[in-house]
Amino acid sequence: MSILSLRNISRSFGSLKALSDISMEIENGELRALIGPNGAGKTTLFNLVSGFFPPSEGEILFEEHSIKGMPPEKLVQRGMIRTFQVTEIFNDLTVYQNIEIAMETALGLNLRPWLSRSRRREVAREVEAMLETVNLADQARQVAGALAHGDQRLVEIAMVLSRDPRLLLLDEPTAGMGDEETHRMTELIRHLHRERGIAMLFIEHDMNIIFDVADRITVLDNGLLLAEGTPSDISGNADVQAAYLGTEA
Amino acid sequence: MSGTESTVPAASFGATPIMRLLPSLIIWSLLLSVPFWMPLVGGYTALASRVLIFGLAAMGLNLLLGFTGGLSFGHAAYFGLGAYGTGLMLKFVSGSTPLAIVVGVLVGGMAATVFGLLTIRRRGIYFAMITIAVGQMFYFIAVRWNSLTGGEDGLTGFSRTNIGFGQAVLNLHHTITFYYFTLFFFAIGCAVVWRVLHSPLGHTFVAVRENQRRLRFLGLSVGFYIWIAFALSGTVAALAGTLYALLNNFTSPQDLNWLLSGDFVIICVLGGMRTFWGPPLGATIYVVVQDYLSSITVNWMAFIGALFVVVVLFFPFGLLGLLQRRSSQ
Repeated sequence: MSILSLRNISRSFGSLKALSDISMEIENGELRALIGPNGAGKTTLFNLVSGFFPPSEGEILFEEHSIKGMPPEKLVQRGMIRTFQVTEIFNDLTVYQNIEIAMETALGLNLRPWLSRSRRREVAREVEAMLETVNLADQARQVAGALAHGDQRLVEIAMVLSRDPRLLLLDEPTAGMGDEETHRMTELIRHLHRERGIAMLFIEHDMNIIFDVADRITVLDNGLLLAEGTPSDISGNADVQAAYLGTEA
Repeated sequence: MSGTESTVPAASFGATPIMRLLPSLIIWSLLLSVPFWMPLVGGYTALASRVLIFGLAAMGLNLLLGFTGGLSFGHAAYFGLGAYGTGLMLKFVSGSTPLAIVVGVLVGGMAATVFGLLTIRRRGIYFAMITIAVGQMFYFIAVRWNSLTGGEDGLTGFSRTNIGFGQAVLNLHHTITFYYFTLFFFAIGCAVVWRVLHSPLGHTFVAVRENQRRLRFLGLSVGFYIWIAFALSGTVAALAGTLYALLNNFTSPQDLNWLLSGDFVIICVLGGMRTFWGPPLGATIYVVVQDYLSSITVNWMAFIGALFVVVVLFFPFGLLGLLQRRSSQ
């Protein structure tokens, strides 16, 4: 079953056509990379899917139900959540507090002015388990905004994971990271995919990561869907090499 | 790592429980002993009641301003509605002081709940503008509705009444008794605000301040939580307003005016917006400086203004924020 289907999606901004007639299907538990040169429409596609703005034309289905025009908060409640190119976390709070708020939200506790002792323990247990998952337990008491860039990314991942998504949209998860951090991030992505079966759609520029991690790759160029297929299909595709890989080499 | 204790409002002075409790212990001891030491430092007890009332109003505002990140220049409206609610109740309906307080809190709190809805769809400067507009609306109503409110001259002809408990009578005309009466409600206000800040609700408020986009992309409607903060915050300000009417046995349109709203904002900033005790500290400075300097010069506000500029430029987290930074280094 597809977890996400785009059917003939277009989006224009004034006279600029950012995306034209895009159709794609992502299967349950699939790891899909979205690539393309700058200005190809990758982030626009993310914004459409995650509810920032609706498509000008076309239909978006999440788990077979139309989600066109649904606001982000509804989509998160349904099981789809995203990260951003520029990390969106609570900079002035500690790592622990960042994840605590996400966890309280996931447990539906936001309106509670009081929690029972057992409930507080439950939240604390979940937060600590999440800190372990993303390997940030040692930094729990540090202010999130003061962490290294890669660790801030991990905080954001931990927050979105708290919502227990079935589809995760990652906007350049390794951008600006060093080799060590990149390695940690790809290991985490693999782990989440394998252990939790979370489907992911991720925008990425690093070809090594893409070919290493992705089940399938979708290539956008100038707002058009240029190619789609397995990593070996894509690396052998002449159009892609001309439009995209060619410029890299 | 203790883990079980929630820590979102950064208001802890030290690591050990004793160190964390110590500032609160000192503050409450000082507040409880005011009538004993106040004359020694040249003050008078009614001045301390005024500090508590302004401190409570600012603490209410700070729930929205410092913790949720919503700049309101209209909180005097809810403070003033509390005052008018109490005054009108005592003058026209019933001589019961507790009932008048309940009515005042309900009037101010409900107004904040209803008019908070108007503000939540806007952010930043537009949010602030709407809060001013709504606040000024109540100011002009109070000025124009002469027959009910006494117009420009303010509402007179009521006074706080004693409270009887069977044989015993709480004599509120006695200044020191009234101080403790005010302190009692101040403590209730503090308890409510503290409880909220140390709960998931308070954590959510802080999250609104920190990053609305992330909160939205965690699945929450941000506006709804700003509304809750607005309503709570206005209700606490209304409680302070009821006490202010009782302190003065008088209330005037100035208690609804946006200048007073500005004073509340200044008090929060002076004391420290991100701290629990910042607003009461700011209120202490503000009220005492006003009382002392206004007997010397009519231009006392210039000194508050200068102090405000210094704090904003050099200690953006307020005086208490500065103290906390020092102690944590």
